Amino acid sequence: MVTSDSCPDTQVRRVVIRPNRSLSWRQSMVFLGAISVPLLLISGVLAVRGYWLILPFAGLELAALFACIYVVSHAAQRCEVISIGASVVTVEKGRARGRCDDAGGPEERTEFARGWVRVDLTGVTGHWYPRRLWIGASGRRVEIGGFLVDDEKADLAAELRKLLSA
Amino acid sequence: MSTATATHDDHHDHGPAKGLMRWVTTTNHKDIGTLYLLFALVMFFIGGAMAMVIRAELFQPGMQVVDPQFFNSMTTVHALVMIFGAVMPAFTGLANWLIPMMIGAPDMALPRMNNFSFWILPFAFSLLLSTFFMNGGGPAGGWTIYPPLSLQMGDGFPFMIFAIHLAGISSIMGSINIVVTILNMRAPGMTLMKMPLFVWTWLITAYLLIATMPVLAGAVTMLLTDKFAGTSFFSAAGGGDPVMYQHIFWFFGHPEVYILILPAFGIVSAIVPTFARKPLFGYSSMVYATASIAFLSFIVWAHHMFTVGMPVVGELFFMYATMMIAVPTGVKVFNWVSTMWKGSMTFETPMLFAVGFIIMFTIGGFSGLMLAIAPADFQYHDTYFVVAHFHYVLVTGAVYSIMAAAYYWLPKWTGNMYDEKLGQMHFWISTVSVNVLFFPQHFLGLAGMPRRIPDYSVQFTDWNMISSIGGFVFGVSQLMFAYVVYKTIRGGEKATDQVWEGAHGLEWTLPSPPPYHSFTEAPEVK
Repeated sequence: MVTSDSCPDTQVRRVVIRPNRSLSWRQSMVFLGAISVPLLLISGVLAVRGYWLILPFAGLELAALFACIYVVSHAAQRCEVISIGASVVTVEKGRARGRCDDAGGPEERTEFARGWVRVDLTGVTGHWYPRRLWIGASGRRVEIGGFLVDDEKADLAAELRKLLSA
Repeated sequence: MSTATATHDDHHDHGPAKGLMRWVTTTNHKDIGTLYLLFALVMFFIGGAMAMVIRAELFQPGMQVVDPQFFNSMTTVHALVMIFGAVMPAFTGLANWLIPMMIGAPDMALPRMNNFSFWILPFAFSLLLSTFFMNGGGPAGGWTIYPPLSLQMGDGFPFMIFAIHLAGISSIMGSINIVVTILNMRAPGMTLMKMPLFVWTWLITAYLLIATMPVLAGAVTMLLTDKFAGTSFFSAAGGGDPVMYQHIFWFFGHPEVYILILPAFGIVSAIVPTFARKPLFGYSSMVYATASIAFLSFIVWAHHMFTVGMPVVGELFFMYATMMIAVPTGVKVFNWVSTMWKGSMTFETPMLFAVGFIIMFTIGGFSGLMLAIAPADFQYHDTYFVVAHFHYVLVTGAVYSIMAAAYYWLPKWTGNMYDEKLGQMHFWISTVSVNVLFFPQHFLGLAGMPRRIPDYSVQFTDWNMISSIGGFVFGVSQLMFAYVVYKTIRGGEKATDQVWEGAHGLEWTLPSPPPYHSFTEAPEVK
């Protein structure tokens, strides 16, 4: 998903890129609960009756399920923010929400001189591997939108080029 | 905050790795789906060969081909191989291939775990089959592994338990991956109630698997400790309760039956509308019926053990609860028939298998209703009637749906059309022979022939001979299927992207064969 906005006070154009995620963390926990309750209930009842060996297997499995849901949800909360200012282009990556007033800030931040910034989209649509989108200048570049599908990358590349040339 | 190291990356697009290592290390959902399906096919033939041994021995009364111990091993391992090695991996293979394409995701959510969950399986089943070469032979106490009989098994016992654990771990990892993929990776607009029914049925199947597998794991581990660690969970001599094992096993075992059939409902719900050229009748009711069947599957387990001696109240509860399953199942059959009603029907091979499924699965369902009647079950219990019932459900039900799915999606997977003439021959020979194989077993059961016996009274001879002939023909006819698959992979008329004019769904918007990573263009969900 790609959204763009501008911060009115600084006139910085901002493009926010996030992966698609079709379930919120809260919904994921509801699902986990829907599986955990019956499983723990039956395992618990059997444990009370002396058949306790089912309980550790149930615990292990639910822990694995939680870990998998957590890993995927964590990955789905990645966020990349490209801020195009008058003279500097900043690429920020992290799990922040990407709004202008974010607390905590990004985990990675790279700055390029706007005048030299290039946007490169490598690879061919329909090939074995997805296309890759790069932004960089002066021999340095960072990959952006790795979680986007190809046509989203193409659209983003076009939008960034348009914003940079404006 | 850290400053990113900007990199120079000379990435070049390339295809998958070449050679054997491609398949060992792959994390691609299509590769892993293919591995699952091929593994399932191999196990289907191994389990099928065991069935041939069973039918050869039962061709006439007396002991002709194998000794009784080996015969019992054949029935036991045939079931374990077919359930855990053929049908479940086949459905997981279909899920791997299709779910990301159906929901508009580029791959499964956890690709490395996906690879791991497949590669456990060959080790698990090598371990299981290796027990035939151990002191005491393969497991011979039935696939349900009831104590105290199962505890008398030879050296292979712990290996069988370990094999079951490995297969269970594989199933759990596969299920978790499917759940997380479906919930988290649906394309924008792909709401839950827009998902294809195959995805829905797999979501519910994965739920059942996750909810019941620890019960099986615990039960077989307690068997292991009873045998080797001096515990008495199920040993009456030590104060344990062997009947409790049956309760615990069937608390897993009955949902397992639906694990083996719910994805089949999803497949048939995809195929019937395509060849009837009408939308599926009652989509929402299909979803709710599937969920209802899953719920009911948790509260009917004791219908497998009416004869162990339980209170009449318990028998009544389990009898009525079991009969209630006929309601959502009837909704499904009604919806499939209503979808076909006044449709522009054509009968290509996938549709033939789907229609065959509906008719013969319903026969299996009706005999299931007969078995659900507690007082009548005392007559049917542990007879060939039960064998006939569950083979109608699992062979003409689950296996037929897998065949239907293979013919339906094979052109999409390979880019080549299969040989329609051979496909139709495969269907008709299979359908005639499978009924010759299993229908007479109803008569044998009603006449009192017990299951799991290598020899029988002479009055059962005729129907057994007929059944065996059907079995041999059915077994050989499956070689045609393997040949059709091989031929389609090798070449043939090129398939279009749409393949079937009446097909709907995101997977048909991809090229045939689809690119290594699905959806290099964002799908539109309407």
